[in-house]
Amino acid sequence: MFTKHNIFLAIATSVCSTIAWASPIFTVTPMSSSFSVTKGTTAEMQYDIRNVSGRSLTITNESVSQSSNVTSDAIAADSDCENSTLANNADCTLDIDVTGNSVGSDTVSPVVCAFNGQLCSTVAVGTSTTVVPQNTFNCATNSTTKECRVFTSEGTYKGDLSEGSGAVNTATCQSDASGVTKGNCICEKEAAAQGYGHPGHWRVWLSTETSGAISNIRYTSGGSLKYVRAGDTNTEVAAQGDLIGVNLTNSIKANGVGDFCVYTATQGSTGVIPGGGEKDCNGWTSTAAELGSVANGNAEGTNSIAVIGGWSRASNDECPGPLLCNKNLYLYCFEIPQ
Amino acid sequence: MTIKSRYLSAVALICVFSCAAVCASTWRLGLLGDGGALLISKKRQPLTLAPGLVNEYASKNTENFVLGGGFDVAYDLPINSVWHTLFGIRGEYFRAPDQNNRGVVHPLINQGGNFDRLDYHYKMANYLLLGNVRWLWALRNSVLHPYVNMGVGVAWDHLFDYTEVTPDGSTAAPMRTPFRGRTRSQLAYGFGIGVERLKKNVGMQIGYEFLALGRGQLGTTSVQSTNEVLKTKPIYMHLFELAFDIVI
Repeated sequence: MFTKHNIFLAIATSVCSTIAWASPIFTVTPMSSSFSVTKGTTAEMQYDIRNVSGRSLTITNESVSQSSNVTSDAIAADSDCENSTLANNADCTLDIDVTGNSVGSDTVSPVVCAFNGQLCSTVAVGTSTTVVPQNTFNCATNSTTKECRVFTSEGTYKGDLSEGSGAVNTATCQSDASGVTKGNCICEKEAAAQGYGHPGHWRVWLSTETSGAISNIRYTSGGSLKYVRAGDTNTEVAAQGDLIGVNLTNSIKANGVGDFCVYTATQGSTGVIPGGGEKDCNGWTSTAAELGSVANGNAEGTNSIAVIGGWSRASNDECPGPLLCNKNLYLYCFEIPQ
Repeated sequence: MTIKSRYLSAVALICVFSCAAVCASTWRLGLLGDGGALLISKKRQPLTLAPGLVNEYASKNTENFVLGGGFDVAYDLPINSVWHTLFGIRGEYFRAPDQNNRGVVHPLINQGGNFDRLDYHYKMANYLLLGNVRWLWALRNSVLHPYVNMGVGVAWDHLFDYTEVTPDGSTAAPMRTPFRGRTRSQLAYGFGIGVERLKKNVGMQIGYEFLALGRGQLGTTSVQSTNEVLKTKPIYMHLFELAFDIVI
C-alpha cells in the first residue's frame, strides 16, 4: 500500500541513485578569501592544491587567468607544487606572484594541470583581488604639506557604533572599546579591509560633548595637512589647511554612489555641537530613539562645517530627520599624521 | 553479338541521331546556392590521450542550419525531344554557424570517478566535388520541367577551432593545447529532385537535395602521446537548392 511517505521515499531513493555528483580532480583552494596588492608592487598569493583523483598525479603545468588590473602569470620559484608528484589526497602549496597594474579589482583563477597540460583543474570561484592605489600620500612624512586620506566607511553603524549593514568585522572593537575610541577602531578595520594601509593612523570624525572631532583627527586649521579621497588620491577633498571654515574642494564620497548620511555631531568653527548627550548619542554609547535629533553629515556635500547643509552637518532635506541613534549611518575616517 | 542486341543497338543509334537532328547537345554553366539542415548524430567516444589518461567525449546531436554555394558545369545530352541527360561536375562549399558542434568532456574516465566535466565545441566547413547526373523531363506545353539527379564524389570535411569551456560550477579547466584542426577527404554522395524553368538561354532550378559527406575528424594535440582523434558520426544534409544555368 502506497502512503505519501512511501511515495516520497521512493522518489528520493530514485533521484539519489540516478544523480552522481561530480568531483574535482585537483581541489584548488585559496588560503585567503580576498587579496589586495598595491599598484606597481608584487605580492604573493597562496593556494592549497590537493590531488583527489584517486590516483597519483604529477603537476606539469601551472598558470593563472589573465586580467587587466593585475598580472598574475608568474608562478613564484618557491612554489612547492612545481613538478610535484602528488599521491592521492596529498597536497602542495602553490605560490603566485600578483602584480598590481591599475587600481580596481579582478578575479584571479589559477589552473593546475597534469599529463602535460591535458588534464587541468581550477577554482570553482576565482579569488577576488583588489589593486589599491600606490602609496603616494605623505601623511606620515615631515614635509611641509602632508597629504592625508579620508574615506566614508563601507558599512553602516548605529549610535553606539555597533555594526549595521555591510559593516566590516569589528568584533574586537565592539568588545574592547566604546565611544569615539570604538569609532577609531572601526576606522582602522575599515581602512585595512579596503587596503589603505598605514595601520594605527586612522581616526573617526565624531565629536562628543567634551571632545571635538577636529582634535581626534589631529587637525590644525591653517596647518600643513591637506586631504584627498583614499580611493582616488588624485581627487583633493580639502586644500592645505582648509578642512575647517571653508568649503571642501570635492566631497569626501563621489556623488551618486550609494547612501551618504554620516554620524558626525560636529558643526561650527569649534566642531563640537552644543547640547552634549542629546546630540552625540550619549558619547556614542546609545541606540535610543528618544534622544532627539542627532547631528549628521552629508558625504556628498562640500559646504563648510560652519553651516547647516554641509559635509559635517546636513540639512533635513539632505538627510531627513529626525535621525535618531537607532539609525544605521556611515562614518568618516581620516588618516592622521605621525 | 546476338540478333536481339544488334537490333537494340540500331534502335538506340536511330534514336540518338534522330534526336541530334532536332535536339542539339549543349553545355550549361551555373551557380547554385542552398540552405537547410545539417545533421550529425550524437556519439560517445573514449580517447586515450596518454598512458593512464582516458577522457570520454560525448557529442550532442548536431541539428543546425547550414548554407552552401558553388558552381556546376554540365553537358546536356538530349535522349529525345522530351528526356535530357545532363552529365556534370559540381563544386560546393558549406558552412554551418560557428560552434554548432558541441559536446561534453568527461575527464579521466579510466579512473572510474565522476569528475567535473567540460563543455566543448568546434567549427566545421565542408568542400564538395561531385560527378553529377541529372535526368530532366522536358514536358511539352509546361513551363516547369521536373528532374532527378544523383552524384558521387569527394567531400573534404574540415573540422577546426576546437575549444573547451568550463561550465558553471565545474572545477575542470580546458586542456592547454587543444586538438588541432584537420581536413579529411571522404566519399560523398547525394541525390535530389526538383523542377526547372528554362527560358531562352537561362535555366533556373528549385529542388530538394540530400547529401552524405562522410565522417569528419579533428587532429591530435601537439602534446598527445597517442594517435587517437575525435571523430564524428556521418554528416548528412537536407537542402533546399536554388540554381541558375546559362545554356551555351
